Amino acid sequence: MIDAGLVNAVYDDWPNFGHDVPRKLRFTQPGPGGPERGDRFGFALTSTGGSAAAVAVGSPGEDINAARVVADIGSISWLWGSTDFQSEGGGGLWSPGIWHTQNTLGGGSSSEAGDHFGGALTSSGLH
Amino acid sequence: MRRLAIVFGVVLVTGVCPAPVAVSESSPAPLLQDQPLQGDFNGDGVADWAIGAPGEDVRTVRDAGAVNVLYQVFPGVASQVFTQNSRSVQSVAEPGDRFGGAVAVGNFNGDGFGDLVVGVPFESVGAAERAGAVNVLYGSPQGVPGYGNQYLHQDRFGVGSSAESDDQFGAALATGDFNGDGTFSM
Repeated sequence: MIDAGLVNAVYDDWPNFGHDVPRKLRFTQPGPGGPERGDRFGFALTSTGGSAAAVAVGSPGEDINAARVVADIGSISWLWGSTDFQSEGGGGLWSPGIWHTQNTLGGGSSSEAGDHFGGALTSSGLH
Repeated sequence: MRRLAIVFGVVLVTGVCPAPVAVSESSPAPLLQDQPLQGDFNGDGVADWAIGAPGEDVRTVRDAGAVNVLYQVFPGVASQVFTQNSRSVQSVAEPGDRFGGAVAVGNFNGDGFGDLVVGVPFESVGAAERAGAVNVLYGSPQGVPGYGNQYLHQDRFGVGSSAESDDQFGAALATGDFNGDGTFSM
């Protein structure tokens, strides 16, 4: 699938995890519509930093607006960090399946063709 | 007094549109380690996010650009949208400005609220088209539409260059405490 995008997680202790459960190292876009051609998931990234940091991932080429296809409205997704290595997914980054377009945010702007929402990202970081 | 030391990257290209660039804040400098984190726009202790939509049309103004600020992702969403036509943002939305082509966070005035820098790489400055500019939105208990928002370009005092066509000032941004005074620079 051309230009759907992928995010790789590289840990400084990889490949010697030191934990029983291997962590997920590759992430594709959870939504909307999953990975599609031209989404460009991973075009922009930002992290909160700190322990168990969260990461936001921009997909400025996202075309799925509810049930319709509208070119390049853009979307963002989140990956959460976890220090719980006993959990199902192991520690490290995991995908909670949370994503947004400007339509789902309800913040006073809507998704239109060519918006490229998610083309640039930054995070405040954690306390 | 705000001290803004400016380190800017001028992107010169011929015929190729530079891609919007993701920017993350650098690690806190030693002076900042005992302080609240740099970038919480409204000081509520929950991580905030700023997301550029540089191709956003502002009413009929094509590709003027917008930035969404999220104060909470889950549960529920609390967000605001800013364009150059927002009351708290200086300058005016013009076609192709691409406000939000880059975003970065810092705490420039040391008030404990995170401040948002938004690149406007295709902003015209005087007669210089696509010279680029930067909007600075200061954080407050109400989020980033705080007081004293700033508008910088290469013809402004303190920015050590002049605005020329296609400079695209603001196409890439980074923040940090470059001079060790305990407040952030960009």
